[in-house]
Amino acid sequence: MMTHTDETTKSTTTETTAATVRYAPEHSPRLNWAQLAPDVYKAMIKLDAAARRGVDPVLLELVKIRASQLNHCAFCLDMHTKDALAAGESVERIVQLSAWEESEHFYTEQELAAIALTEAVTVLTDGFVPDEVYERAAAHFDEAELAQLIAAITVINAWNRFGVTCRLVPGHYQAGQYK
Amino acid sequence: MTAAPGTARTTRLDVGVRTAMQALSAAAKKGTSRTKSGGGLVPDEVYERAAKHFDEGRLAHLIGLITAINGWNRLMVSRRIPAGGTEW
Repeated sequence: MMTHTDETTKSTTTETTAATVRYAPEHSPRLNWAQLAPDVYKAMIKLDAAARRGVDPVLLELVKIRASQLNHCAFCLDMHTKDALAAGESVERIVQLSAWEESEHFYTEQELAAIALTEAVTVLTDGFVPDEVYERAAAHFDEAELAQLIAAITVINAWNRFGVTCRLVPGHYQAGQYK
Repeated sequence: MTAAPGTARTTRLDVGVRTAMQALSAAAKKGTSRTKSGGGLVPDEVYERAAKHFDEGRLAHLIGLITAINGWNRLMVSRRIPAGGTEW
């Protein structure tokens, strides 16, 4: 169980109250798939490395966070928000990512095109990948960059599926742990 | 840089990505549905139903297989590779 000691200072007095906040119990993972299918895990690591080649690392974390939000992968969100913050990404851009269509001025046009593509490729069963989304991305990335970007989006979707299905536990990742 | 939509749709996969995807699929197949992307999570009853029929090692590979075909689906649908197409 995770507990958290919170010191609350009342603004009207100098009284300080020490309160212990009790969070819900932590769950266990369903399946340690990386140990049970080490060949698949190793292939995923190689695929991840191949897909991220040539993709801007700042953009890559935005892509990974957005896909993980859509897929509700808590484990991947823990990992990629921590990695993004450690790499100097702003809290505002991470927070606003879940409502990016209403906060476009936080991102570059190229980032927005990549985020829109991430959204479409992730929610694939809701209308395929629309032409306008694809063409917006094609206007900001050359063909080779686009091929890598699509691969990167696909790979984080794969990690999300492992994370959610095996119910991997978020909260323990430390930035750069697997780098 | 702008890519013409007609040509961009047939963007070929980087050889490294293609090889890695093939390795992933091959690895997942060693262990041997329908999957909905976005939202949902994987309900306990669905997971436990599968866990009754597959031991942990086979289940880990089955999840790998499902994930691999989801990956291929994304790589093909996003670039609109035609059915029967040989160029991908």
